[in-house]
Amino acid sequence: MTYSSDWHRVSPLAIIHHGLTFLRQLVGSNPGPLLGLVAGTVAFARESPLMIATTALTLVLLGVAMAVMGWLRFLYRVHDGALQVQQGVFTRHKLTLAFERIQNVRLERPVYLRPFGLARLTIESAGSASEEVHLPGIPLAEAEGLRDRALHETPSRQAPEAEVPGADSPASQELLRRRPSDLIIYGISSPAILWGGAIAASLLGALTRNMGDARNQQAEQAMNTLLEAMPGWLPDFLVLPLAILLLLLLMALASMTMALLRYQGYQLFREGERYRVTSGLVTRREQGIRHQRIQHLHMAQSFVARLFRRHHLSCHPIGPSLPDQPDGGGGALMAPSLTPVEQARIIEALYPGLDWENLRFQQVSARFMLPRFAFWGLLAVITAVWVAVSDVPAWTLALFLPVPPLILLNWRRQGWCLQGERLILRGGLIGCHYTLFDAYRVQTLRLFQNPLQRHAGLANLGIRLGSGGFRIPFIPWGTGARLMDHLLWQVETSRAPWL
Amino acid sequence: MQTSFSNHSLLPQQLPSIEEAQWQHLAPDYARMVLLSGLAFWLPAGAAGLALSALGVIPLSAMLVAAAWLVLLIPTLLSYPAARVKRYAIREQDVLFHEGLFWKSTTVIPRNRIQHIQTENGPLERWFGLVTLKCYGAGGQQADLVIPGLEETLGQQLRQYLLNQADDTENPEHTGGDDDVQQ
Repeated sequence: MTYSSDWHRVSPLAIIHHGLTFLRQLVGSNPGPLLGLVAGTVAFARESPLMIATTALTLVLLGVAMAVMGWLRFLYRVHDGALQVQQGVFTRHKLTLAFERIQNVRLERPVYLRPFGLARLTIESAGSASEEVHLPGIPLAEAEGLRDRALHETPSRQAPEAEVPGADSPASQELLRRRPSDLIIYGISSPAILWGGAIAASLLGALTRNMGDARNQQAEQAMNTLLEAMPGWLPDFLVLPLAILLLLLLMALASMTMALLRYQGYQLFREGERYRVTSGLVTRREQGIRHQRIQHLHMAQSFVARLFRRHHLSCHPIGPSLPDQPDGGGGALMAPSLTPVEQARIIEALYPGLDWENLRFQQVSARFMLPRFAFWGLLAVITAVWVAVSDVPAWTLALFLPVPPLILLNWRRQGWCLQGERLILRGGLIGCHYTLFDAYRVQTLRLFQNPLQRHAGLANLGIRLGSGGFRIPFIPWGTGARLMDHLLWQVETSRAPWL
Repeated sequence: MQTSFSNHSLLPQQLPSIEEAQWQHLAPDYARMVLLSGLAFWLPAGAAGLALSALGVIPLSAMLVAAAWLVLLIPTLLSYPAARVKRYAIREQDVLFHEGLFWKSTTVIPRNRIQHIQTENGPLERWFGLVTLKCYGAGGQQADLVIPGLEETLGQQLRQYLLNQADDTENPEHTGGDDDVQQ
């Protein structure tokens, strides 16, 4: 299976990919400054249209020239059991990524590549994001070949129980399939909705800021006309709640659309020691990960998902842990909207013999609530003083009413459970989330305590895996130390490959 | 994939405990260095603040500036005892580091999880003949365990020792000198 090739160039269509990525980065992270820039340009364009036109043309031409140069300079080849890539217009970067170090492979087929039989391949290693290889626009057959090779390449130091070499095409077993109804539930209950909200809020903020300078009066007029246009029977105090409700509805709709676009036709397969997910409406996406590479399992249930009794599951390979993102976030393999039966099936596949239904979680100390009460109490006192001395309405204080029950709930959710060689952590507020991993995946342990915790004989245990860090808060110091000893013993006696 | 090792009957009290580790203190010069580098910033800063206030450049009374300076000086003065309580332990299977005057913490990195080891020394550390040892695990951006204030020869020895052990068990053909531990 030693296959090597000369230096190749990707398809020129990759330029589209680079352009789109650039645009997404420009708009996605923070649309505020961009909107400001556009507004400024429009205002300036009234003064000297010619200058703006020439500047814009120059920028566009420069951008195109850079993209073309970037494409010409981007070369890749397979050589000596590794994938080599050179890129960079001004500074040349060379990257060699050995197949046996590959953690995660993603194969995507966006609409603009599909008609040409091309695909986009993303390969991640255990290192940082700079060690990621993107091959935008290579023939599908080649992409599939590289993917298969990356997922089947066995590290040289393989544990005896690992997969039998030569099992090239193990039987494919479907573990999960998602219907649109599942995805709609995922859409309204996933954290992506918060992202939508954040983007909407930042857009609104940018808009109002930009309107603030010169068109304050115009905006006010527009608002007034809008208010006058409202039906007379609508009481004034209902306007704000209705607006919020409308915004929430829009966000939910956006989130559902996103979920459908991203996960339409979702299928999860198990093929021997590897998992494969195919999904996507516009961009067909295929993601593969070897069982051994999965560092931890995360299971989240937001309070909306709780109503539907669904969990969203993600399997995390090594790499810096990214926050929950609408598109699944980095290299994690997602299984959205699982019913209890499906969840049990997948956990059984990933962690055989784990009796999920009968786990007994250890509570953390009730002192967990003290710093939270102290913080919110202080905030409430400050607000009370503020209400007393200025004309802030007194009902503001009512906003603090739900805080104590929420703190109590948050404390009740905290828990941990050591079952054999696996550690399961629980957390959450109204929703609930679980983190599950094998003890031998631990990389660093940290037992720490503040002065008050020390006084009460408590400590926090910080656990870092290759895929992220977790914390068991407010447990007795002795328990923490014993747990630490136990985990260390598991790590240090384990011969299982863990990377 | 599961570990082939399982041993459920071992009682918790039989496990080697972090509480019984043999702790080593950092070089005595380290605490002096930390205090010196703090004072090297705060003494001139305080003098400059007082001078500016006396000249009327900043509209604050000299008393206020002096009080603020004294408050800001407290962490610097505390850095001396804080440096003295820092300690480390090298065990057969792991490396431990303990720190904290009020906020105490003990960090452990198992030796078979160390991916990369680095020693560093800045100008001031070189002056005092000290090095900082950094152990990196996989997947993170920052060092997982940092031991500052080691005497230079000891730091290099420790680095070599940790690398060699990893080489012996993991990759016999790999010789020391490279900072990467093959896993």
